[in-house]
Amino acid sequence: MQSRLVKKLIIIAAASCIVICTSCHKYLYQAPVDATYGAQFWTSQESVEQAALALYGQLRSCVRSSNSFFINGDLTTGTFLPNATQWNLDAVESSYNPPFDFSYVPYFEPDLQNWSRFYSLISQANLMLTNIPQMPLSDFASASVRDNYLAEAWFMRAYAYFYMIRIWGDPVYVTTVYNDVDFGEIPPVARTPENQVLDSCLIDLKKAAGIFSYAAGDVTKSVRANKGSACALIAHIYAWMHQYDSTHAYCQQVINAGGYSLEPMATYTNIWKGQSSLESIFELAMTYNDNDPNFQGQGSWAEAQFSFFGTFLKGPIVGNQNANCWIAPSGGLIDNTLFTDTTDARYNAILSLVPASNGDPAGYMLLKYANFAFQTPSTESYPYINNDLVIFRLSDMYLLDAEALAYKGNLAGAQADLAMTENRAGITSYQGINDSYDMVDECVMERGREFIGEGEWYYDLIRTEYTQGWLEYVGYPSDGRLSTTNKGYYWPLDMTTLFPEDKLLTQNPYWAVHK
Amino acid sequence: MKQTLILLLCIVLCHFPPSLHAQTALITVSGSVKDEQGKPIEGVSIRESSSKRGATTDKDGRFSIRVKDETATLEFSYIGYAGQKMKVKGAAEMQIVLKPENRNKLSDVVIVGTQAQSRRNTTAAISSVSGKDIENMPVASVDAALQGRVAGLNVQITTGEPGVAPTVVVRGNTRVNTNIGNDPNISQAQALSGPLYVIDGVPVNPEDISNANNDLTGTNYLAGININDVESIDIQKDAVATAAWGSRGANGVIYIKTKRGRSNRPEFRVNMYGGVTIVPPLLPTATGAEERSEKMDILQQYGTYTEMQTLPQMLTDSLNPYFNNATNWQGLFYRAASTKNVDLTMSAANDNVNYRVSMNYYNEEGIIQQFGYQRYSMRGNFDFKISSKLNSQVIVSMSKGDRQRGQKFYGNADANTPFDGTNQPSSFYRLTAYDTSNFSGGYTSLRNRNIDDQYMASIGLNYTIAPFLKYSFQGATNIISSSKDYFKPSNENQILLSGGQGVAVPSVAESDKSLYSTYFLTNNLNFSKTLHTASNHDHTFAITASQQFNADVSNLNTIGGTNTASDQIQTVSGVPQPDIYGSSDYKADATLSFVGQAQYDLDHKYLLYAAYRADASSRFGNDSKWGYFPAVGAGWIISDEKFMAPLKNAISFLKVRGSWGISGSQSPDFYAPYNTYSLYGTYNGAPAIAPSYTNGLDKDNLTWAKTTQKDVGFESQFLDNRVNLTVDFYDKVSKDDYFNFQLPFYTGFSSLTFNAHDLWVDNRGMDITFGAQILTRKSPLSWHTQLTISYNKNALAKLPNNNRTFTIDDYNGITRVFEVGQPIYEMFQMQYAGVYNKQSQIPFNPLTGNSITYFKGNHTVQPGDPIWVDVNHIGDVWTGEDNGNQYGDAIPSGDPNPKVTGGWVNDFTYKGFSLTVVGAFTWKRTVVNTFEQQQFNALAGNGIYSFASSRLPDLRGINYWTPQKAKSEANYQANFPSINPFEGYYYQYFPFSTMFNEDGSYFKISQLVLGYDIPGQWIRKAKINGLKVYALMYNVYTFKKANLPNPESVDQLGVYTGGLYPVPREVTFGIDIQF
Repeated sequence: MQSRLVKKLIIIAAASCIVICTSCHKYLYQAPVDATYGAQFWTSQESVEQAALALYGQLRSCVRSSNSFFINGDLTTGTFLPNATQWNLDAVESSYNPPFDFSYVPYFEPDLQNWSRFYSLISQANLMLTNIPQMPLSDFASASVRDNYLAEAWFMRAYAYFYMIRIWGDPVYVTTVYNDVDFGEIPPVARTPENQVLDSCLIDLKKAAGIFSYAAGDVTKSVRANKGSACALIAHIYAWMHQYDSTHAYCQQVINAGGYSLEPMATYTNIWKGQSSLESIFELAMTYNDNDPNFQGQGSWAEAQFSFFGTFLKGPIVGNQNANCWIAPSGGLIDNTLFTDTTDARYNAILSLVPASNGDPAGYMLLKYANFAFQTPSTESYPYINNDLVIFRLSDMYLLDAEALAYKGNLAGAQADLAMTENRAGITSYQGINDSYDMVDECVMERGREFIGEGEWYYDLIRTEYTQGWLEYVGYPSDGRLSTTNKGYYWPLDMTTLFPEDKLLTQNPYWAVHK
Repeated sequence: MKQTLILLLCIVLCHFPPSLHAQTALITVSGSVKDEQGKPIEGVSIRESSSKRGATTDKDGRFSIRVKDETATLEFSYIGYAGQKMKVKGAAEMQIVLKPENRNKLSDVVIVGTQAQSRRNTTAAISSVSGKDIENMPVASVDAALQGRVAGLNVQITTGEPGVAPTVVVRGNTRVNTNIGNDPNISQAQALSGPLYVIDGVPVNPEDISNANNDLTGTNYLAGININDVESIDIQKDAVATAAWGSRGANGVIYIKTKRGRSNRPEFRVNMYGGVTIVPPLLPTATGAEERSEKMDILQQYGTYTEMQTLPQMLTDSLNPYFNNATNWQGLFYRAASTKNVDLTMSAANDNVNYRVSMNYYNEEGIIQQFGYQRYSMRGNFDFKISSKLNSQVIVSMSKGDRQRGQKFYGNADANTPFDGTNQPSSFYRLTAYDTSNFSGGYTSLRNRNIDDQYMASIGLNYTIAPFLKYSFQGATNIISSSKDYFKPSNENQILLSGGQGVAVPSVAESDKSLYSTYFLTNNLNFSKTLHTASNHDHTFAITASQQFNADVSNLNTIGGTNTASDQIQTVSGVPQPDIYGSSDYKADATLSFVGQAQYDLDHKYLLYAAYRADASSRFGNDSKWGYFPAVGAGWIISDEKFMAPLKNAISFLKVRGSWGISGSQSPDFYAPYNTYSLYGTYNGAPAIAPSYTNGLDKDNLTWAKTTQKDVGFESQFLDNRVNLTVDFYDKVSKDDYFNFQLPFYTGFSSLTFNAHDLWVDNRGMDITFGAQILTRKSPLSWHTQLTISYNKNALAKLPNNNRTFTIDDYNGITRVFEVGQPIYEMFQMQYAGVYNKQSQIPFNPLTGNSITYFKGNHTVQPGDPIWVDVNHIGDVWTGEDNGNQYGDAIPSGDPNPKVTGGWVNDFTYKGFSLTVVGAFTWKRTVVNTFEQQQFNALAGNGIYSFASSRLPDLRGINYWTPQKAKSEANYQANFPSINPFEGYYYQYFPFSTMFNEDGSYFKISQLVLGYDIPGQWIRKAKINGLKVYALMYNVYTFKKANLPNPESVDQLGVYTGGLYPVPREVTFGIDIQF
């Protein structure tokens, strides 16, 4: 009896063991097949390539968000006015009281006063910089291929911080990935002074520049970071820090070794056509492609969009999709300051005088990005504008070099640089200038002409403000807002949203008392 | 998995072959069975305990049965009476008296985890409902039928839509869902913490199913089970009961047992009922000339001369055929509906086989067009006795649920008709052919089939290794196949018919399928023995060791497209390539558990219980898969003590018990520890992948959420069991629940779901069940009453980020505050305190000396404005301030969690008649009437055109402020602010103030059942063994304070939007025939 009992117990135990041991372990360690995940993702060069492309896609989505790229870089200069329906951008005008009041932009706060979206890009770069070194070299075709991905991540992180600094000043500087922490108790991080962050960025960029090679005349390489874009960014950062020797050195590197050449005036708009011009150093791909799953929804990841470039266009040129757009008003900066010489070929090539309509004033429509098309032309549905957004181009290097030389007192060198873009446009305003101040002023104006509608000029005005005072000229108050202690040229941070997330965060000095 | 099951079955079966009984000589005994009044009872089932030989009594209550010898024991059972056992005493005539059944019998067996315990000796807090109590209720699912019957169980019927789940919460909500602002379709499973269901031993978590298949059909899982197949329901509330289900029991366990054969004479039953559902009264509204005159009256009160000159044509041109109508837009969609139910049952129980097979057809039409639920179900329960030591249970069930849900494509939102609270058109508009075809026509040509097929099969084996040692095995599979086929035609035709009126909407076709399969295996070894010691004490031990394995696999396919080729082709075919979409999904998980349970009692008086459970789930990180769930309980049956003996007549039973334990809950995400990388799109034509911003970080330590519960309970019976009272006090703290953390911006990620170690939710309260047999046993009229009361206080005890308070705006614009000490989903609003009748009543801004302002200084308060209390005394009232006070004048203002719920059930029987009255109530709950709010919002401050084109709210009883009345009466007291359409808009009728908060208390007579058992002699000639007729009224009447049609049918967060499906009244008549 007893032995039978034992025997039966053993059988039951054995049966149970079969169930438990043979199958359960496998069942308890199941991974998803409906999505990829960290441990599985960082195992091939193909994945790293996809992660790297996400850097550019994220930057594209960051700068396009609510057209902030143009609001931050162009609207703030007063060259353009918001369209008549954009009442909530009224404060970003010189005629508003107080002028250019960055603290009152209803419903635009998430894009203009909140930098969170750029941290998605930074975390993606951090993630690549953490994971790629842990992958075996055998996952990559070669060490240089692998290093090139690291260099892209360094470049994009540096670009993101530089971009944020030019808008909001001191950023919260993060270089780590927040994996496996107590997500309810993430310690707050204070802002880091912008010069310290830029120093770190320069270190990263120089490492990247050492790895990258130049595009060497291949127009398709401008949509990814390469040595040309890294050096251009270094030159810009040095200029921002007013270190003109280094600015000059890096501009010269790009000009001499990059393999770029200026686009002739006859084909001037090729610059923004997308991977078509040897002038372009770095551009974000925004042209239409058939594989784009986001196109019809026009989400933030859609490659080609209508509304971004469309903000400058209305009427028949965009199939009457827009009744309003940003106009550079007649009698404004275009007529009175930038294009006083109407023989400037750019005046005719990229500006079109339109009458007042639908509440928008009479003035100039910008035609840099005007490759308008429909996906389905027969039904006139799914409109888009088929242009790329150019971030750095050779003209930029010439003019930055001119600015650096002008500050250094090398007027002849500066004139030679200015001649590159002005001669192309058929003007010679650089001639006959014989002091450093006027030469810098000419550089600023030529940048205003050359880069109008490229989200750039406002930063030029901030950069040169300490000697030239252009911001007051375009309408900013001279009540001390623009002093280097008040930093009122930066945008305020949306503290209502951001402060609860980071208790060490502080408001920009001017807006701490003027919001 | 299936292979494993078969393998195990082979092993078990090969080693335990059925054995044969030895035949011995039999003797015959006979006797009679009577009730307490001495009347013979016919049809009593008699069985020999050892052999299961059986007989039944005849019309004189007499029986005779052959038994093995003179020591045999007979069991007598009859529905409605307590079973009895009696030893045969020689061949003498037996006289048996059966007593009426006592509810919650102490001898009943309850299943705690894997262990069977007697109700008398358990230390767990368990309430039970008999299937008999809820049979024939005209509701689709068993959960709705439990309302008002169980203390500690809060059931709210939030919608009258057929086939949709009510909300079910055991002892208070523990779920903090931070997604309430984004999704109007948060289903009950996601907003509140629902219980685990265990159906015939197989655990089912409806929340998992609806999460995995994206709530494809939105149909209640429990609707697949025929109510009339349910034998009993045990609601397990305290930690001792739920910890045995450990890993998934934290929110309570509802154990459902289905019926088995019980009569040894084969039975065939037909039960049918049918009835009508009555259209509820439509929301009152003025139409036609009445609306015009009401509107003009209002305008004349407020309008200036100039304003009155520019009235819209709609108001002034009363002869215009476009604007002189009296259309009641609600009336387009409602209809009287019907309910039908047919049950066929065959059953028998004999020596070796016990079976019950049932079939059911249930059809509930909705009171809104294109709504309804139909169920076809079959269930077979079979018990086989293979040898004296081995028996087996086989359960097979299949059901098909077919639900229509109007034009609703996803979830159970309140889009029941095309009009919600915000867009109720004025009755002036003419109902054009386009409207008719677009609204009702669009309904009839709509195809929206939502099918849920459920298949369940279970095999159980019980083997008695030795008298004290039993082994059992159960293997089960449960498959739910859901499909949705949707087609909405384009409105091109209507546009053509109406001569180009309307906006073109393309046709949409979608076909979705999901398959959710659960496999469950358990092995149990049970040791039980009673030791008698020399000192005449009984020590009883019961020790159970179990292993459980559970695996789920979920598949989901979706295809769809717009612009189908023709409105006659209602599937996804011929759709242009850019308009077509499709996707599939696959998910799987598994849980492995080991359970140990030990029970000990000394002399059946001092009770001890301990359980320990270990669970590993594939849903957790490699380092944190295992969770451990202990529980202990102790009890003392005081009434068995000697010193209680003198009181035995007064206090027949008194037990004190206490318990402590930990139970858990799993992550709702199958792959919770895995971060997700998503394809965001392309860059320059090539795919770009980055981590998900909401689930992109590693979380290897993700683990079980745990609930610790303490319970002290008293169970008592008085006056020879005529009165019983059970009282439980509990305190339940839930920690580490899955919480959607908003991450700081500098992490680069927006949010992440993780265990919130600092999110503690406390629920404490009291459950009371009082039952009494009011009249004496001698009385021909019997009246049994049961009152259940549950009191629960819900509070957040701790919050993440150093108890940081946070707020979330729900979908309807009502802010919810999450603050330590406040209940979950507490409303956070400005306080509305009446109307400023006169300028003199308006306070001054302390700084400026002017009248106070609203809306950050944008609106200066004037007479007729609502009084919003200036909580922070800064002279401006608003929900947020610019001066650093983030929340302005908002204060915690209402708790949508009911504090007290319960029910009152009365059963009367007199001879063959029975009457049951069921009442349910909720007390102390705040609900918000956003329907009225939206109506006023369209009316006042939004301009004259909005005023003209919107429907009027019901203004009866609303004494709104007007300048004329304020001028003419000295002590003018308006009870509602000005509804001036010409006034500026400052969000005066927005739900961010308490203006539309109402008291959600109600008492509802939910059910009235009248039955009559037709006496035997009348029906015997028709060769029928039993015949019962009954009539039932469901949702009889609701007593309420709130100005809502039904304060119960509000959403999970206590909001009434006016678009919800009303809960209708139903009347049914039925007949139950037994052959």
